[in-house]
Amino acid sequence: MTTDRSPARGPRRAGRRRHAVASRIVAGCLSAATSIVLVAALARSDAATPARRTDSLSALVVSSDPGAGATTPTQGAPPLTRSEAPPITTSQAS
Amino acid sequence: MPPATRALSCASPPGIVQARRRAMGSDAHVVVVTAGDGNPLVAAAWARIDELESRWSRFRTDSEVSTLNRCAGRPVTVSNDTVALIHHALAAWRLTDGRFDPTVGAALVAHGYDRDFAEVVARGRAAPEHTEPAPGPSGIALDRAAHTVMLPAGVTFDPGGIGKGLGADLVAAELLAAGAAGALVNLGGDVRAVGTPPGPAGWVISLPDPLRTGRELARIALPEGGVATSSQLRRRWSTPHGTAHHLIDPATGRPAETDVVAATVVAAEAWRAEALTKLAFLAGAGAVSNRDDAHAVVVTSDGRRHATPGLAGALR
Repeated sequence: MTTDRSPARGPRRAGRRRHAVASRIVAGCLSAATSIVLVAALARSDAATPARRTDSLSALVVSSDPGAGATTPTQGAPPLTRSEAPPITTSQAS
Repeated sequence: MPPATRALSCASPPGIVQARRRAMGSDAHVVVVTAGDGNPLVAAAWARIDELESRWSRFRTDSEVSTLNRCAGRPVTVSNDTVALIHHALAAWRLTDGRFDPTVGAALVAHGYDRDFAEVVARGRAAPEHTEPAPGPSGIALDRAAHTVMLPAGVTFDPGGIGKGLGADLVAAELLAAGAAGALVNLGGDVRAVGTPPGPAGWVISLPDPLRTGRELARIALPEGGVATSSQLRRRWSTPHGTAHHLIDPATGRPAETDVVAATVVAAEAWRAEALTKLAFLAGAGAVSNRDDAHAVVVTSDGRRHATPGLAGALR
C-alpha cells in the first residue's frame, strides 16, 4: 500500500507547497484588503451616521424576522379574475 | 338515524361575521369565515388592531414609533411588532427603489401633517418655502435579535401605508391561527384576504373609480392576496400656497407632483401591495407593468387607465 503511494508523493508534496505559497499570497492580499476596509470603516465611524447601517439592510431575511409570520420573501402576483359577485369589501384609500 | 340527528352530525357550513369601525385613522373592516362563533375572533381582531395602532401611531406620544423619533440617535428597545414594521419598511424601500421612503416623516410634519388628519384640515398651515429630500432609511440600525432600533439623529420615521398594510397582513394571519377558516382585514383600503373565502367566487373586492363617485373601476376576485390603493384625492389640506396632500415625493420632500390620481396594486401581501402603489404613483404604471409579483391599475388626471394585463380584463 505504501509502495503504491510513493510515486505520487513527490508531486503531491510539490502541489502542497505550491498551494501553501498561494494561500500565503491570498492571505496577504486579504489581510491588506481587510486593513483597507477597516481603515475605511473607522473613517466612516467618525461621521454622524451609525456604523451598523449596512448591517441593517444586509440582514433582511424575512423568514427569521420576529413578528413577520404573515409574510414571505417573494411571491408571485395572486391570480385574479373579473367578478360580478357582490363585493365583500372595497379597497378605497381613506 | 332520524334526519334531524343526521343533520346535527354534519359539519356546519362556514358562516360569515363582519364588522366595520374606524381604526388607524381610517375606515376599517374585518371579515371572519368560520363554522363556529366568529364574534370573539372579530373582537380579538379589533383589539389587535388597536394594539398595533398604539405601537405605531405617529400621533400618540407614548407609541413606540413616537419614542423612536424622540430618541433618534439612540437605540430603543421595541416590540416584535415594531421590529417587523421597521423590517418591512426597509424591505419596501428596497422593493420600490426608494419611492416608498419611511423617512418622509419630517417632510410631512413640515407640511403640517403632524397630528390626526381631521385636525390638520381644521388648522391649515403654511407650506415650507424650502424643503429637502428625505434622508432615506439606510442609516436605520435594526437589531432583530436584541429588538432594538436606532434612527439616525434628525430622522423622523413615518410608517405611512406600510403600517396599515402590514397590520392587515398580521391580523389576517392571526385570525387564521386562532381558528378562522378564512379572514379579510381592510385597513384604510389596504386589504389582506387569507384562507377560505365566503363564497365560491373567492374574495370579491371592489375598486372604486377615483374620478367618478359611486362608480367602480374594477371588481376582482382573489383566492387569497393583498390589495392596496393610494390616492392623492384623499388626505388633502389647504395651505396658503395651495393644496397639499400626504403622498410625499422622497426626492423633493414635497407632495408629489404627478398626473397619477390613484394607484391600486394587487400582490400576495398587503404591505407589498401598499409599497408598490407608491412606486406606481411616483414612477408611473410602467414601473409596475413588467413585475411578476403584482397587478396594478393607475388612473391619471385625464381619466385614462393604465393597467397591467392581469387587471386590464377586470376594468369596467
